[in-house]
Amino acid sequence: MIKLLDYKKMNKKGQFEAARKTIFWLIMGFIITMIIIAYAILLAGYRNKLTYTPPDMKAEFIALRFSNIPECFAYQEPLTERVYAGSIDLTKFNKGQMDECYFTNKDEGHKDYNFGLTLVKKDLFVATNNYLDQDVFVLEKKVMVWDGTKFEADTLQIKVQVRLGAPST
Amino acid sequence: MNKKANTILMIIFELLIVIAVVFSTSKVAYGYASSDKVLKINVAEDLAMMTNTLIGTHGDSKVEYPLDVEQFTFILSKGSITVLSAGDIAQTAEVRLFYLPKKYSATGTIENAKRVCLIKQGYLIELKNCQEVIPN
Repeated sequence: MIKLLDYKKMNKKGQFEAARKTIFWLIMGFIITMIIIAYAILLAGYRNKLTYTPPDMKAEFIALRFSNIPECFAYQEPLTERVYAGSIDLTKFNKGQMDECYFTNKDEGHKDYNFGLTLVKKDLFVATNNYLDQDVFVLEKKVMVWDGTKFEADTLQIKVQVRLGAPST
Repeated sequence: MNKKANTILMIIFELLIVIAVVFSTSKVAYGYASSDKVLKINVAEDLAMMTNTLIGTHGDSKVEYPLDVEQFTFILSKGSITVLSAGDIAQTAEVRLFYLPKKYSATGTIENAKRVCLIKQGYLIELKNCQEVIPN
């Protein structure tokens, strides 16, 4: 068996050298482990960067529905059933219609996108079921508001609450 | 042991450490580079956004996902899109949620389809093989 370290046969200088190298490799072992872990974290971070989707882009796609489909708030002419994209029907701009349009999971819906909508000139507000006034950014859309007799230009402010707590996906 | 032997042993030991470090970092990098995890995540995100876009546009429409996704299996349901690779279990699948208006529903399961299409007809959104929908 090879005796790598035989302190009894070593002089003081040899003992110092052996101890020095032992400490060196202890530290190097720790540093190498840290480097490998940091490398793995770096790669994971790079992967997250590759799969990142801007939250405002996601919110824009979800928010398309609010002023474009009659199942949400868009005005639909009763006779011709023509839908006016980019419009808000005031008779529909309420909590009940919002729940028909976009309703998140009762228990975990706060982990998903929620919205607070405001018609600026009309000073009307309606929100999704898990909107808790913790908005991260605001989208704005120019809309035409149907009040029963005519269209009026207005601004639809969409406050976006991205998530509260850990993401559901 | 004499000093020369000790030095040689230390050199061999250091070489072994270097080889081990290079091997482990290369293995990690190769794992990331060869996995389809990134593509799977992006496909799931894209299909969820496409579904939301279809919901947000009035009328019927068809849209094709512009990538070859033959290696994945897709499950579209009323509240989510699930993308699986071969051998995936529930925990390793990519799932993205969305919320449809109450009148709407979504359905569709596809395996080994090169081209995947989302079709909106009335209140139904379907996931189909594009060859059935948009022939070449």
